[in-house]
This record gives sequence, structure tokens and C-alpha cells, in this order.
Amino acid sequence: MDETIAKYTTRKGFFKQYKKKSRLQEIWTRFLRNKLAVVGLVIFVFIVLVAIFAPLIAGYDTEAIRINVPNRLHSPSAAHIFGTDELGRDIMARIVHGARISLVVGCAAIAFALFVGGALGAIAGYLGGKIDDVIMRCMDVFLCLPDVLLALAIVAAFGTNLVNLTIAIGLAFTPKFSRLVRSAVMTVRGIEYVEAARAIGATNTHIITHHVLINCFGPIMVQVTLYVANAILTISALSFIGLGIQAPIPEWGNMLASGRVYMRDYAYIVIAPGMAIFMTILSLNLLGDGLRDALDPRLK
Amino acid sequence: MSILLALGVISTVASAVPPKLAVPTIKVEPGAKLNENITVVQQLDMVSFDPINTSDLSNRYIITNIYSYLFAQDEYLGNVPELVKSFKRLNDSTWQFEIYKGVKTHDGKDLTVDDVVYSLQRTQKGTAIGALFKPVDKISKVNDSTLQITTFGPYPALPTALTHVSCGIVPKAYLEKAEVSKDWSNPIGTGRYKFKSRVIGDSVVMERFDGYFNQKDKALNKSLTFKIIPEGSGRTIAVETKKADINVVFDTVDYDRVLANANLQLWEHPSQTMWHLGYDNTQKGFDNKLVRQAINFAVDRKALLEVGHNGHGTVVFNNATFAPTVLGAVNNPGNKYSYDPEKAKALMKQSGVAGFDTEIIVFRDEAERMAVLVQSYLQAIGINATVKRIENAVFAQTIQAHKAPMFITSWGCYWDPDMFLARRFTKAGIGGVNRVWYQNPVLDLMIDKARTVSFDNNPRAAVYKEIQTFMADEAPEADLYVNTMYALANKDLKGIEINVEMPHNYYKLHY
Repeated sequence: MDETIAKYTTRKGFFKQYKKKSRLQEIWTRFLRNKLAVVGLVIFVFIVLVAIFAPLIAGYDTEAIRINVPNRLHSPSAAHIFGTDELGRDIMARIVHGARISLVVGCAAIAFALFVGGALGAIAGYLGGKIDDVIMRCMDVFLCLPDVLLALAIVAAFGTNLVNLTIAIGLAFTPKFSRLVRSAVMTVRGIEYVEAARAIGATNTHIITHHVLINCFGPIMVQVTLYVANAILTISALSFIGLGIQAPIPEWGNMLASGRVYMRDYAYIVIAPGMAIFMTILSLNLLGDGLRDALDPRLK
Repeated sequence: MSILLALGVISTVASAVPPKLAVPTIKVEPGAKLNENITVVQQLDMVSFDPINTSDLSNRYIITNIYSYLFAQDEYLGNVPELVKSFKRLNDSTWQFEIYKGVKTHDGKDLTVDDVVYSLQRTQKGTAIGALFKPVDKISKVNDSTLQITTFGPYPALPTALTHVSCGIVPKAYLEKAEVSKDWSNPIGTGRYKFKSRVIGDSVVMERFDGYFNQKDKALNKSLTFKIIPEGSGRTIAVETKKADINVVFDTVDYDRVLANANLQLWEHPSQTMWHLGYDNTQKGFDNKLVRQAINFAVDRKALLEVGHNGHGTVVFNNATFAPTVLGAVNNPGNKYSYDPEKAKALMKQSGVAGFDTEIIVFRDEAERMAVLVQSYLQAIGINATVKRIENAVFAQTIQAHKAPMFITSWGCYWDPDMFLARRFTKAGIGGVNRVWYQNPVLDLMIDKARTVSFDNNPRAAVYKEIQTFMADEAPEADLYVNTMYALANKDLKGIEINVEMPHNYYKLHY
């Protein structure tokens, strides 16, 4: 009898039999059920790995930016899997190193937007009143402008370099995050646990950071993945029109721009960077959609 | 003299052909259709209908259809009389020009000598003509059909100077109004076409002016529409799909494709359009002669021709914009330059100038490609350059604000060097087309000597050779190559003519 009791009351045995899945595990299980989302995740992880190990795949100085005019406009071959561009540079090397630029600038810009927009949105949503009005009306003004146009204006005014570009794109996406975070904060600010925290004397900053924002994490993360995709597209668009990443740094948008002249006779010049942009955006969108479904408690 | 590739007809061009003095002739076959609307595609938009605003090519070949000139440009950018019925040189510095009577303006009035004098006096004051009119002292009326131009000394190139885009004749009444209002949106001239409409960045439409004074040489089509298509293949496709009749800025990337297309004709002509790498001679680094020479050794012109124009052109080693067919031109004076990166590095070391940062300004696709290549050459000698693309319309302002430390662009040379040397390399050209901000009193004296030594071309050519040797040492810019000129047209289009700068005389186009 004692043995039987012991069997069901040891911590190990008890939890083994009645173990409840953690919230993260539930989300992960739901995410895995969505095949398209998994495809998105796999592609995205692959792109991230390519970006991380770019120097091992192709040399930057020796292949990505080294001009070799006699070697120009060579079709795809064993030596150059995606062919060479109008200046004789290996297209694959440029795609691989371009992934670094796109991902880093895209993620950094959205991190910037999340930090600034999130802070403004949280303040506006939590405090409400005139502060909310002032912050959100300012954000509304910026929301009226398309992302690319706003980023273009900022870059045109302050010059084209990597830092300015990141800030420009970040600022262009800031209003979106402020609105998102504000609405999420407004949803949770009246809930009992926030009132309880206030009742025990927690400061506004503590409540916003420890109770409110933490509970808005899900919807924010979904939007982050989708906006990173938009940011990468914006970088490429700006580079395409000459206001983004400048030569000779390889970037998918400027590869498309310089290759478009040769598009009719040497289509591979634009197919490779075009596909790189397409696959990255697709993977992030699939990933974002999958995350949204996985995080939705109604879909348990 | 154009070469019709589609039919495999090849002809060569003499190295230097003196200007001809002849009224342009028109050869129209029986049954020709002379009432067609012709669409011309070009790369860049025009800038202004004010003739003294800019000498930009994309502007010039549009507005010269609206205005008449005392002399029009010929195939080698020499001169052929247009409004001038006859002219004579009274002495070394006095010229008289008799203009045709009965010349009508587009608003139906008679063109007077007063109009011509007022127009040219305005041109003289403007910056676009710059040094071209520096030798000109006075422009005055003699009688109702004659005007007189006096110069400070012998100026053999005067008739050619009068072909410059800024010498377009605009009626005095219109000019007086436009000078106040600055409104050039509805220009009036006496040329073969009347302005009809313009959509900025898209198109310009003009209609044949039936009152053109020279009925033997009037427009052979009903209207001209200029469409702006910045992308090279886009222009080719426009002709392939018959959305346009002729592409006057052909991108050689489509060369093989169009030769294989029986519905198209491709014409070519050697050019005097010099692609060059310019640099602001007043800026730190470029103010050192050895650095400038190093740059000339550092760039591989052959590779630049390949990247810029797919090898369609002729490499040039020069530093004073002398295209190979220009009077007195010498390719690589004294055999000074070659592609020699080691020599370039040695010169940089000798100059004592540490590596520095700079910027290469471009506004065209081909220049942008070349700039990336130049960037790599400069990096090898310690100069870190970034490439910046700007709009064509702000290029002149960028230069004038000293904001173009380096740039790549082209320059259409006249046959007579006196037409460009002073404008490009003396104080008189600053604010105009002296984009490299170069000045040197020794060069000024040499230019004056070439101008005044004789009305004969041989002694002048000898001085121009000396100038090129001097400029090779000074290296105020790096001339790279002249690109072959092409015109791509529908196979049935007739009347195609190309000069050393661009397809021209669009008024002759017909079916």
C-alpha cells in the first residue's frame, strides 16, 4: 500500500502522469500543426544561417565586391552558380552577403521602431488623456504617409548611409508600433491584475514594463515578423531607386537596379536577387501568420 | 555618312572634316508619306525652353526644333547657314550677316534684325554660352536685313559659335515678357515646329510650322513627339513595339538583339561625345597635379568602355576633351598615359597626399556602372570614393556649388576646339561648363594664340597639339572614350541622320 502511495506521490511520478504542457509548448505544438508556417520557419532559418556563415560560403573582398570585367555577364555555371553580373562579380557571393545587409538593417530598423514606437504607444495607452491625444495625433500624421515615401524623405534629407537608412526605416515604422502597443495596453490596463499591482503601490513604469507589456508580447511579436518583411522590402525599394545601400556594398535591391538594364538578355542577373527578396518576404509572412494562429488562445 | 548596319553597308569617316557651307538638301522619294506623327524616344527629360538655360544634350535636341539659328549644326558640329542668307568678314574682327527676309514667328509676326540682335545680346550675357562669346565685342544692327558682330581679335570659329543652342533666335517681345515672368512654358520661335504641349518627365509635343521661311527645307512630318524613357531596354522595346519611331539614345546592351530583328534598322556613326572622369581641381587632393596624373594612370579606359557602352566606342587618352575627329586632335599626347596602377601608386606617394575620401556624382545608368569601377581603381591608390546618383536637372547646380568633387559624364565636342576649350578650362567657363574648375594663365594664352594665329586651320591645329601636350601634364580631367552613336528605328522610317553627338535633324524623318 505504502509503495502504491509512494508511486503516485513522488514528485517525479506525479508530474509524469499529470504533467501539464507549458504555454510555450502549447504554442509550439500549434505552430507545428501549421505546415506552411513550418516551411516559412525553415526557409527563414536557412536564410539566417546563410547570412551568419556568409564569409565561409563566399569571400567578400575576393568575390562579392571584386570587379573582374573580362568575366562579366557569364551565364550560371559550376564556377558561378548564379552567373556573374555586369561588372564580373559572382552573383551568388553578392546574394549571400546581401542577406546580411537585408536582415541586419531590417531587424535593426524594426527593433528601433519597436523600442521608440512601443514606448510612445505604451505611455499613450497607459496614461491616456491629453498625453495620449498629443502622441497619437502626431503618430497619425506619420501614418498618413506610405512607409517608403517617409523613409525616402528622411534618407534624402540626411544622406544615404547604413545608419541613416536604418533610422529612416525605423522611424517610418514607428507609428505602426505605437498604435499597436497602445491598443494592446489599453486592453490590459483595466484588468484586475494591473489594478492589483497599482493597489500595492507599483509605479507606472513598473506596471507598464512588468505587467502590461509582457501581456502584449504575443501580438507584438506577430507584427514584428511581418514588419521585418516590410522593412526588408523597403530597403530593397530604396536601394533600387539609388537611395538605399550604396555601391559597392551588395544589397538585393541595388543588385536588381543595376541588373535591370541587362534583364532582357541576361535574365539571371535579376532572377537571383529577385528570388532572394521573394523567399525572405514569403518566409517571414508565413512565419508571422503561423505565429499569429499559434498565439491565438481561441485556437487552442 | 551614317552607316546602316542592318544592310551591312560600311563606310569610314575622314579624321577631320572642315565645316561645309551648304543649304541642307532634302531627298524625298516619290510616294513618301509626309504627314506622319513621329515619336522620338530619348533618355532624359528636357530642362527648359529658354535657350540660354543649359547646353544639355537632352534639352538641345528638343528646343532646336522650335528655334531657328543663324547657322545650324552639321554632321561634325560645324556650321551650315540657316537664317543667314550670306555673310562676309570685313576685316579680322568684323563680320556682317545678312538674314533672309519674310521669316515668320510662330505667332505670325515678321522676324526683324532687332529680334536677332536682342536675342544674341541676351545670349552674350548668359552663362550657357560662356567663353564662346568671350571674343565677341559687339552685336549690332546695320540695316533691316543685316547685323554686324565685331570681335576683339580674329575669331575664326564665330559662325560655329553661332550654332550653339543658346543662340536660338527668340522674338524680342517674347523675350522681354519671359525675362520678367520667367515663364517659358509656351515658347515662340521661328523654327520648323510650333510647341504644342509638355508633360514634365514624360513627353513634349510639337507640330509642323507651315510658315517656316525656308519652304524647301521644311519639316517632312506633321508632328514630333518626344517621349522620355530613362531605361535603355525600355527605349528599344518602344521601337520594337512601334510605340515610337526612333530611339535616339540607343543602349548597346540590345545591339545583337536589334541586328537580328528584320523589322528594325540600326544606324551608327563615329562620335565626338567624350565620356570623361572629371574632378574639382580646386578641392583638396585634386589640386595636386601628381594626384590628377595618378588618377589618369589608375583607370583602365578599355574596361570602362566595356562596362559603360559594352565596348562600342574608341578609347581616348586625352585631358582636354579632344575627340579623335576634332581639329588637331592627338590621341595620348606624348604617349604619356596608359593603364598602369603601379605608376599611379608611385605618383600618389610622390605627391605626398595621404588617401582621402571623395564622392563620384553621376546621373545616368552607364555612368553609374562606370563609377563603381572607377571606385575600385581609386581605392587601389588610396582614394575612397562613394558613388552618388543625382537628377540630371540638378547636375549644373551641384557643380556650381562645388558639390561634385568627382563626376562622370559626357561632353559633345565641336569640330573646332575653340568652341569648347575656353568654356571648359578657363575662368570664363566657370558657372557654365568648366565643371572641373580649372584655370591656368598659360592655357589662356595658348587658347588665344590658337584663335588668332590664322584663319587657316593648319597653323591652328599645330597650336592645339601643343595645348594637348600641356594639358596631358596638367591632367585637369581624365578623358576616357568616345562612344559610337546609334539610332534605332522602325525599318520603314526614312530621313535618319546622325551627327557626331546624336541623331539629329528630326524634321527630315518621314515614311
